[in-house]
Amino acid sequence: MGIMEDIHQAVVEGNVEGASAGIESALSSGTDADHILNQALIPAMDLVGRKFGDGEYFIPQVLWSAKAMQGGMDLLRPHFAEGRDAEKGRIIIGTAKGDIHDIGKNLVGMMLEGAGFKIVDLGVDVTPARFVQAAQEEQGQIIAISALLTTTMPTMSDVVSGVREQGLSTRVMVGGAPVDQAFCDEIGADAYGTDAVDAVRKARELLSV
Amino acid sequence: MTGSIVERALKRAVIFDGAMGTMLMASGLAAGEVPERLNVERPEQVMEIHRRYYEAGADAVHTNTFGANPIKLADRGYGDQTAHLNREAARIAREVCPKGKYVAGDMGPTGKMMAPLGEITREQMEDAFQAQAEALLQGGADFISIETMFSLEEALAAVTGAQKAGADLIVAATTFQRTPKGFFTMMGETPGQCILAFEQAGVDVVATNCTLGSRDMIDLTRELVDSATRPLLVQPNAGKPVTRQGKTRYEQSPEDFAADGLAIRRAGAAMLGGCCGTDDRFIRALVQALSG
Repeated sequence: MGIMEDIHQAVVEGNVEGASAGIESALSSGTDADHILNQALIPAMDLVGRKFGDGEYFIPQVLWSAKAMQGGMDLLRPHFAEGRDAEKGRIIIGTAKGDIHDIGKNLVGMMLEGAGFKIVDLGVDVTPARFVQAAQEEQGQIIAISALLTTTMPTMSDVVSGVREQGLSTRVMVGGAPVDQAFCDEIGADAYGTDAVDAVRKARELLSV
Repeated sequence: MTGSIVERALKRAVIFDGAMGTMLMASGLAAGEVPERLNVERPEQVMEIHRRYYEAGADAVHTNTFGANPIKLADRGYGDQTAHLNREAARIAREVCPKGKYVAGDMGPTGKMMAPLGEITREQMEDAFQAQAEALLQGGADFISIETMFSLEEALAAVTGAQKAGADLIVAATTFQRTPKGFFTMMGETPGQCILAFEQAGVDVVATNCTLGSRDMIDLTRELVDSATRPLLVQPNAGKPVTRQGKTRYEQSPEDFAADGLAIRRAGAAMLGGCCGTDDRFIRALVQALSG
């Protein structure tokens, strides 16, 4: 089996050491970091996402694969081509004001980072003002808001209006168990992600990357 | 002296209460407020809810302590209030508990994951649940009811904590999603796995609550009953929440919920109650449906 397949399999299996060892080996034999990212890591996380969506993988499997992915990203980062940031875009992520659930948000953050986005994680219980401020300060192209509590969903609407008031071109993406497309449309958000994998898909669509 | 709730279940269906959060929100709890603080800030509001559930026919009510685990409270800045909040919550429920009925000390998830996936060790989790359970029992809870566990290993840490606290009787519930491949916890555990682990750990009443509405819980009940030798408590949601124009509603009617409750009883549940979206009307309708 080729080294790309080894790395791919290690990530899919959540084998953190295996993924790192494979990447170190590939890098030392001169393989391009971008190539490793696009040929092994991203397709692996895509597959993990599909398995999660199919009910074959659960949270632990996804998290272990994400850890393997992140370990890989840490090794690759110093090697990305000069002047070319692996950054596909910058995303401000957080859990809505009043909500402290963070597992979903953390998963989405990991998947987005794995897909090549730069993540600014504001944590939990984040006010609309803070989301908007961070988007301005960090030049975030997307604000991604998560909520598990239905009571905190209205604050997502406040983020959308906050972005408009400040005249920002930042897109707003929403997600979380009680959120749906109808809600997203109602508050004027730009995208709704059904799960972590869909979040990556939607982020890519929004920024055409 | 009130006998054990398990003994009562030998005679007839035992009824638990419905949601606390739903009733608190209906009486004005704001988003982001810590509901457990109401036990000390507005106890009469919490007592009124307990009273309504007892009057609707509930044999047991859950203390307003779902999020009062020290790890979770610490996140909200109230970690040092663990003993106080839990004791008070049990005390005020005790105060309105009619003779012959029960106060269940409620323990929900820590909100964190256990190492190595998360940062909290098994020992830290067990200690946290033990601290909560001790305070609940000191305040007057009859037994400990572990709810909405989406991770079996966390649930087992809660069981250990409750046992170390000296609980006479332990109810433990995991929450399941329904997928095309079957029922699973968020962490991927099956109903059979959970029941087996709980019974091996010495849980007295095995249970499930939340995530699913009453319709889906009928099939889940069958699966749980298949693996269980202990009595089973089932507490469904009132369907799925719908949010429109900033308002969230559960749209299932009490009568519809109660009809499913009857099917859940027939599928083998020894004890029934309600979770998110239910209120005293649901419990009253359930009692009616089961006595018919």
